Amino acid sequence: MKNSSNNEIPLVKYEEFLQLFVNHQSKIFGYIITMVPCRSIAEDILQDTLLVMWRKFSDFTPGTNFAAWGVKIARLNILKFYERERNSHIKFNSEAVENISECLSDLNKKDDSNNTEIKALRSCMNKLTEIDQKMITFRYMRKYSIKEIGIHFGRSAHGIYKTMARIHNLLQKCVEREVSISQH
Amino acid sequence: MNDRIKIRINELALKSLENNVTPEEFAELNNYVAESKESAGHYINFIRTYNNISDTGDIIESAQSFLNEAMNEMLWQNLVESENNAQALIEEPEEQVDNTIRIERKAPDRSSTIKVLVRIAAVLIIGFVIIWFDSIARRQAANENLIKIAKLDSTSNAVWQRESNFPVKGEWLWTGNYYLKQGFVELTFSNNETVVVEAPTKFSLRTPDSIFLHHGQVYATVPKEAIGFTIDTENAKIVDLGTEFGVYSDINGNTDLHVLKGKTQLLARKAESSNNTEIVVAGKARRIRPETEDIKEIKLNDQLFVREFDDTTGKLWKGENLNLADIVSGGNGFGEGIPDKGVDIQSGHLVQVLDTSDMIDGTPFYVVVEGSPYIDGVFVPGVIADSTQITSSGIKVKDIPKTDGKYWGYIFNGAWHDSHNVARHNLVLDGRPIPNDIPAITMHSNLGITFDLSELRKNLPNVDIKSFKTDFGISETMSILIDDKDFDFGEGPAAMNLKKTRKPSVDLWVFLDGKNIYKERISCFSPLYDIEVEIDNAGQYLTIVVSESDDGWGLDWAVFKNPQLVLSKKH
Repeated sequence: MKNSSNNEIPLVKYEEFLQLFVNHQSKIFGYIITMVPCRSIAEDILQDTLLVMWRKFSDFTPGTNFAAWGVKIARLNILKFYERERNSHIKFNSEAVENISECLSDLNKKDDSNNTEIKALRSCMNKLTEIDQKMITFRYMRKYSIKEIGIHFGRSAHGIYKTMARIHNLLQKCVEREVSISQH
Repeated sequence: MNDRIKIRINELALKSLENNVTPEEFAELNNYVAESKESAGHYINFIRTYNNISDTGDIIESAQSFLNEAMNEMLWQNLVESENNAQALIEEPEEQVDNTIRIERKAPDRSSTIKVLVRIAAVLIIGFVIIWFDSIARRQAANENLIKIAKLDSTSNAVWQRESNFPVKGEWLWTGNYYLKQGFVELTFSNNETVVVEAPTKFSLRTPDSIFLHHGQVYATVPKEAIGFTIDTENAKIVDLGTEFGVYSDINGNTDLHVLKGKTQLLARKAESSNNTEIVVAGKARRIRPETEDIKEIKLNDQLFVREFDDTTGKLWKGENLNLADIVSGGNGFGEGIPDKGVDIQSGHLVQVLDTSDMIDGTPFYVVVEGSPYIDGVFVPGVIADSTQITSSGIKVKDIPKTDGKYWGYIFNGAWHDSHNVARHNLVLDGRPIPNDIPAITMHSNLGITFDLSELRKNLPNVDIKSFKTDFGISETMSILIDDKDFDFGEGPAAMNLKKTRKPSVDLWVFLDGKNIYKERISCFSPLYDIEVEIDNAGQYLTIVVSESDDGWGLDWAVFKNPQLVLSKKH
């Protein structure tokens, strides 16, 4: 592919690129936010990654794993972020990165189970108590901040974080259980 | 790994995701993840669940927009470079003649021009492609499964931006952004919450029980079972607590909340303290300004928002009641009538020039009013003892006793009297003349009028008529005559009674489908009667009668001040 520096308009390629990205965006973003667990930083890294992916799209071999190729570029951008933002405290050390990478690699070896997980998650959300469901709805569907949820329930932000963490744990356990049942 | 550690990892990761984690806390998270693959696996599971629950669509959308902008910039940059680098051309003369002067000037070569045109076309095409892909990506990113959010129940002259992409009446609106440029639409959400959107309004639908108002105005009616319905704006969050309320948000970031029924919780989104939240109850209004984020009290405007509209006639309802004075003068109850116009009792015609010089002898016949669909007819009560027909369908009532069968004037929109022995003047209740701009119906004894409620309901099918409400009395100006020593009271027991009491009185009757639902004897100088009578939803004919009491018909200058049908949105 000729990129924009060749003064040609890679229209068809751009369409192809966007379509591939739409299909694999959640994996690429998932990788970034796992390695850098901060929404605003992950957003910046995703933007840089997308731009590099497009510029280097000529290097991508059609038919190969687009998500894996995107993750490779994302990894380089994360390293750049680590170098650039030396003072940022949101940085895993090499042991943590190694553990995360190994776990992700194990996950990739399995079949893509995200759709099964989403189905399980829906079912699990229905099993939560009414108050827990309300918290999840307020936080993720209505996009209340933790502080706003605290105001609504008359509790501190600290307490809400703890409650949300507990609810997430319930959901994780339930999803694991349901996915496991569905695979047998 | 026990649950306590798992929950702690979740808590730390959650804080980190929201950029709310301290260096010490992140170091703790790092330690857990570095410590074992099991902890790292739990952390990854948490992130997966978080991504599956939370909407990361805005982040992905923002990255795509970034790429699109970069793409456009690159393309235009190339275009400019191409123009600047174009080769100079030696122009050939059109005709080969001797001594041709060869002119050298800089101009784009043909291949360059073609390239430029191709690029311009490509930029345009790419623009469309980007929009198209953006739309696909946006929808996919906004939600794993694009979901139906609200049904478009009614529309009136609705024009959407990019109209072809938007639904018509009866169709569903899905998660996404919408911009209503003109007209009105009513959306019904899953728990029967209804929201009337008035153009120009830009809004987003993201979850089944909320709406994000970027700018514009909406009116929400939320049934009890849907408590918790939310309207978000750029700087406020309004959570319903069982209510009806309107929200106006301007492009400068001001948010106004007007609560008409029930109560809501209002939160300033960027609230720095818990003081920036308030329960706002019916009859109250609040504003959040963008610069301060403080909640300020403002005056309630209960007719600011369109609450209902008729999609065939285009009639709008902003919470006002139906004005019966407007109806008796040929209007629809919302101001179409003409002051001083009224119904002629003998012909049933709506007339503008009223001849009020003398008393008239009535007949026992019910007179249908053809000139207004909302008035069934008029009549003179008690001409025949115990049998007065009060509807065109033939309903007769026995409640009203025999009267003299005489009446003065018309049933008209206004509050004044004149006759051969008194000059025209505004009627007076409770010591105050009724101003011309206050809706009023003058109705001397012995007169009756029947309104057809079913015709009125047709205009606004989603609105209930809750009650008939009015102030009522006999004008104190009758003292002009009663205090005149030459005034002729006439003869007979009734006249003698009036002469004795010097306080003329009437019987006021209200019937619904022939059933008497209100009756009161009211005399002049009584305290002002503030009357409200409930109306059954099934009722069709509302009849109001003013008949003489035991003191005859003389000086019964009765008047309804602010006669109205109280409306309420159907639930």
